[in-house]
Amino acid sequence: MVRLKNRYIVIEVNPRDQNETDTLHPFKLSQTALNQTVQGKVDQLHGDFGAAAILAGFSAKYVNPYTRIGIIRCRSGPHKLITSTIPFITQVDSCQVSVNILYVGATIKKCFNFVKLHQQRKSDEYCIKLESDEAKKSLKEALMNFGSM
Amino acid sequence: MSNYYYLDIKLILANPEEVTPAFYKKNILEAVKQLFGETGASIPIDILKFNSETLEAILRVPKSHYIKIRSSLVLSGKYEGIRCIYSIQKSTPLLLALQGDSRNYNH
Amino acid sequence: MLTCNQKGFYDLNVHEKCFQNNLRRTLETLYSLGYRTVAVNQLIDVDSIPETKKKKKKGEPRETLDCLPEPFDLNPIKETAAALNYESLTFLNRLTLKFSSQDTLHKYLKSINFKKYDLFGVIPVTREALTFVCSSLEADILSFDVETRLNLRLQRKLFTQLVDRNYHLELTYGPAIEDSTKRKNLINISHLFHTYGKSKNIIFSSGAEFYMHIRNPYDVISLGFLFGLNELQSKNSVMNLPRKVIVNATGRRHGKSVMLVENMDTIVEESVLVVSDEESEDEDMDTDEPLQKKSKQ
Repeated sequence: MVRLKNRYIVIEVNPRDQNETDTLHPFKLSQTALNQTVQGKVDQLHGDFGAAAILAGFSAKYVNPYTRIGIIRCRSGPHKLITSTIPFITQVDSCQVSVNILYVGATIKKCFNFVKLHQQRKSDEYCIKLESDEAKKSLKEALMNFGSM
Repeated sequence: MSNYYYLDIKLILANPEEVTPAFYKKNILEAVKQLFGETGASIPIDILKFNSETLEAILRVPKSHYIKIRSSLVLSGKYEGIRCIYSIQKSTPLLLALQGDSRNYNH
Repeated sequence: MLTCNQKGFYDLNVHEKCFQNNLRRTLETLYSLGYRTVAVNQLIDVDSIPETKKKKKKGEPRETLDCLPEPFDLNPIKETAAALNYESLTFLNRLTLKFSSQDTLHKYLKSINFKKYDLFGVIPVTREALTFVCSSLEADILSFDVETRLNLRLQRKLFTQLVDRNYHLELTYGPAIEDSTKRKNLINISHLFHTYGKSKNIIFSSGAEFYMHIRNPYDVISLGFLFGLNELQSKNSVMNLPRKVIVNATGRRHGKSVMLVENMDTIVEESVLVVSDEESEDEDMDTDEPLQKKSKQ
């Protein structure tokens, strides 16, 4: 069965100098910035060959500035190049960050399910710290914003 | 078989220049780095013999990275700004095989 | 009649610049590396030539300027090769047209000089050009421009069409030696060929504009691994498939014709002769030409 297989990599971008309480501050993460950073890093670590190999199906699919979660899509073979370079990313848009890989899925639906679970767990954590119900509600809405997916 | 591949290469320059083994290795590493990035530059390449008159050398590369090194030598175009060709004369996993040469031998 | 070299390697894209300057050096490099068939390539960008419309004056005949230049003169090359004692080195003329729409291309195909070229390659720039090439244009070699990133959407269907129509896809490694972006574009294109087209019908050529861009054919074979080909496909790309291109080109130039296959030795006793794949008495014309019709006697 001939079929184009993709891999969707779910990453979490954490600014380095961030306080524990400041979790609600939206981190300015845009799709183009993520796109450029990852491509630049693969170019540095894997050279012309790596940069060209991932170029075909590569795109930054979804980015949520509040939860700092991003989804990158790439073809099935070269995805190993990307997963091996993501830990080396130190800055996005002149901001020092550290990046974690949360999940690698073959379909965007699975990634969506994972992200939903992840955000639910996170929102429960944060809601413990907040007191008013309104604040909790607005936080939940902000976190569960999947409009761009 | 051994873990290494041995390459007998010759550097042909557009304009003749003085080449030291250090610069030779630097150029090879630069070529590999351009094509394969830092993971390529970390491949241990050794120059076993170097002839500074004919600019021939014998390289030793790990077997698993042989194709990367060979293709980056093919695609390298410049030596310190001068046009160059890396002509790969022989490549073998057995060092002794570099001595006998059925292709270039004139009967 | 074109005779193909059976031995030796093929380089079907050496820019005419290599033969204008440094003719001797180019020939020495090509011969010593093992190439025995070389095609001198003339690249013409159809879009860069402005259309000139001249008003027809009454009574005066319109000047017909041929938009295609004459094929590169191979005689000085052959003389130099003979002087250097290089035997069995064949030269061909190749034309490559880079175009974006079929209207501008039409007059080039009708020009007189077009028939003088042995090989014909195309570089489509836009999607319409690509669909035109896949459906109705008759050419031998399809290649893509490595200077700009490929913005065409490739599909599996296109590749099966191209393979059916006896096109070969060309990867030129010459520009990749100089420039980093060209290298990336080349590897990108070759990976797309592998994904959508299973790397069938791919040939390697140097595309050299300077004699120092020509590489040893065994090194080019090892480059094939980078481009997603396996070992057998890489070797074919330098040896057997270019030969097939030349054969197909000869067939294309001669057009459809009737071919009689007769065996002169055996006496015909039956009234009906069924044509089979026997050795033709005419050795120059290859029996696997695709456009020939066989007839029953």
